[in-house]
Amino acid sequence: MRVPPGQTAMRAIKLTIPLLLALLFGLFGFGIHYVPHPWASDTKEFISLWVRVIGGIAWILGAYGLIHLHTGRIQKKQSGWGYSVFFFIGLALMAGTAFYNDARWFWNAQAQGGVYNYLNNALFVSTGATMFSLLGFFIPSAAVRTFRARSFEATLLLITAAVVMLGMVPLGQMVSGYLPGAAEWIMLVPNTAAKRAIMLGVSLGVIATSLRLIFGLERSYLGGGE
Amino acid sequence: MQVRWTDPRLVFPLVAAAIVFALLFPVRQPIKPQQAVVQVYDYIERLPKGSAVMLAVDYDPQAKAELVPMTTAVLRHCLRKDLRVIGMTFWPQGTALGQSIFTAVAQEPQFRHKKAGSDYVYLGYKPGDMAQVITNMGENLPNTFRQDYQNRPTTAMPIFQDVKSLKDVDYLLDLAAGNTPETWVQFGGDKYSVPMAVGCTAVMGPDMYVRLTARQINGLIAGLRGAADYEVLLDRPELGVAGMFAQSIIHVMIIVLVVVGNVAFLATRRRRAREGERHG
Amino acid sequence: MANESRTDLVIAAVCAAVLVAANALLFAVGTLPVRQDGIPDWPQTLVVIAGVVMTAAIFSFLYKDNPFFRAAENLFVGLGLGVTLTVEWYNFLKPDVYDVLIAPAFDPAVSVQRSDLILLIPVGLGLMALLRVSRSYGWVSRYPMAFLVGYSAGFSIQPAIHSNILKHVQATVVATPMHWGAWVAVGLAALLLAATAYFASRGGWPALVLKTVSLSLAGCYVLVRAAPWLPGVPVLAQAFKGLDAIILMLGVFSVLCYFIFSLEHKGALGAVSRLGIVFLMVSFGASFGYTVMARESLLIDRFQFLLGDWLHLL
Repeated sequence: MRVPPGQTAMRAIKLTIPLLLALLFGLFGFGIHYVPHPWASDTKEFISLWVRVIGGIAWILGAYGLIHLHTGRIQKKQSGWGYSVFFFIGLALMAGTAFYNDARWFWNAQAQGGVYNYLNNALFVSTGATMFSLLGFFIPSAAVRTFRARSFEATLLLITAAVVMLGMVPLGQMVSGYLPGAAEWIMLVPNTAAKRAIMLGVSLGVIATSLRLIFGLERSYLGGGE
Repeated sequence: MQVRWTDPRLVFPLVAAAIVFALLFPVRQPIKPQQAVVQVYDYIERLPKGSAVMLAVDYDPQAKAELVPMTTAVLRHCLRKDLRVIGMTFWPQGTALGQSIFTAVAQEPQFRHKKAGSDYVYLGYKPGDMAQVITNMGENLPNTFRQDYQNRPTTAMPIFQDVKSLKDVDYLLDLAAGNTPETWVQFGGDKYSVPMAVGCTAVMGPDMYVRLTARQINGLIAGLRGAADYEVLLDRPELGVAGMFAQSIIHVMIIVLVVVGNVAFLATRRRRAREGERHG
Repeated sequence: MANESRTDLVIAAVCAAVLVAANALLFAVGTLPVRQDGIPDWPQTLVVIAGVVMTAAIFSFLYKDNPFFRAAENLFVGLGLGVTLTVEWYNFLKPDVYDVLIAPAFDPAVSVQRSDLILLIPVGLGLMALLRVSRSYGWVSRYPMAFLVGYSAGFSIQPAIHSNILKHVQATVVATPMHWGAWVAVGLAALLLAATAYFASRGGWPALVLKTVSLSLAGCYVLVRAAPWLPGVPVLAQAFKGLDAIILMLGVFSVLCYFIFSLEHKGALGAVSRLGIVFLMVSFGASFGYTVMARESLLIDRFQFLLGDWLHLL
């Protein structure tokens, strides 16, 4: 059965040409590292600027996604929709004060030390610092309940953790002069060995994925649809 | 209602009480700086007057506890040595925090004579793929940041007279809460042969030792302990040193609780094994 | 259930009352910022009180998930998006796009440079990328995405090979000059390891003896290596540096062997993989230790704020 010419042309425009572009620019991006001519340096700067501008504008998609999520919750009156109102309060506070810009508005340079900075220090910095500090309670609680020396490997993990935790604080230095040295050796030798091996494996995977992206075997970045 | 000794409702107040006690009744402890931190300090100490140092302030308020003390200490050291400091960030939510640190240190009495644009500058944030931004900086730094954070044009600034790209930077320090050091090392340090060091949260410390031993970075300041070490080297103990006693107490407390838990676990296991033998 | 809700309400009311009473007491005592004429310095005071309220709301999660925590959490997400939007505008869109291409239309004194007109192309591509949200025209966004993803993927291959693979392989296999005695020790250790691996699978007293000897020797090695007096003995320090390099090489190799899942872990591969597991467990223990340090630092900072900046007890 023959495919109508229009459909083939549309498929080429929607899929084939973007894949070809990815291949071309991928090979170009790889090859430009090996060109010593000054032209390569200028071109890298030029294309990097384009990538930055496109990426900087495309970032708006992320903001749209978050706003769309919370708007949907409020519109459909989903469970907990009231909390989404707080999201918009926070967004309006920061974005509103920033764009109002102490009466200079957003088309002028940002005012220093204005209402925006005040709210940033009063609300955002405090809340941000507190969010992750909750883990400071949960980690000891979890460690006490779950860290059990059930096997040789688990015992080794516990002993290493104890040596590192004591070796890293001044109290450990006061308890024994060996603890800081042991902690340092653990970080420099066995820890480095394991993490290096993991990094080598991960890097090989990243390179393989990059090649798959360039040669069109990995197409998830194109989004859904035909 | 049965409450076991490992119940979070008991552990949480215990943790809080330990920290409050340690902060209210601190005990001064001798701090011997770690070798990795001494390496950063020594390198900056040996830089000639007027050398250009780039501080990438790549974190947001969530990591300020560990990274603000070390940023402040390093910035003080650089300004004390009359080095030129160029600050910037890849974390949008930390942009204002970086500016506030630069402003606060520059306003200290001993640094009042330092001029923004000549002795230091905070360039702010640039979006986009980090690798591309670093590459841009590696080719043309003032062009990448046409204005600083306070919207002053960078092309006319005296600090950029002989610093046209990353290649002209004498030392690069990435103070990071995320994986920005990986990109800085690949596209900055290794590519443009810029000597660099990393200051990071303690979570990232074990990973950064890999870069340290491979000599991709020549020093490492990890966590609050690293910040405390740097403050001791600068002979200006502040937030880093202030938190060390509380850190010590909480570490010891966690180890004791885990050991007690394991002793109880092993005793229970042995008792059950004996009961099993008796019945079996 | 009704009892539980009543208990929660009582606890919330008590906490709020304690917060209000504490702040009132701090005002009365003169600890919170006050101006010279005796009137509270409201801007400075509100910064501290807002921080305390948000901290209390977040910490209330330790009791249980509650509306105060959820409200603070969502407020924080909104604040974060607002901050990011602001930074994107003032640090990028305004200086690099608006001031260059659009502002000249409103300011006759400034004109668009011809060399800057080329920026219209990436701006156009960026706007095309925004069409991703459209069901009918989402395919248009594939062009800028193909350019972005393709170029970034190709551009990152060479640095990844150089910085993440070659440099680390080089750092792993670098030879360290060693005294012949250290090489003898390496040989004997290799024999011991091989014997332990051989007998471990068979069990019995030889396995127990060899495992005990291996562990004891490893412990002694770490003790001597960690000794504060070791740097004072250069010959020994140099020998241990060389031995460390060999242990590092062995560790990298054994962990890489562990991650080969396409072959069954038995025989020699199985023995080396088990050694890899030992290195991995040590590494995880170190990571846990550092993670504890990191999280506790954040908590200490919050308590320093509460006890110092709010209650002025520090």
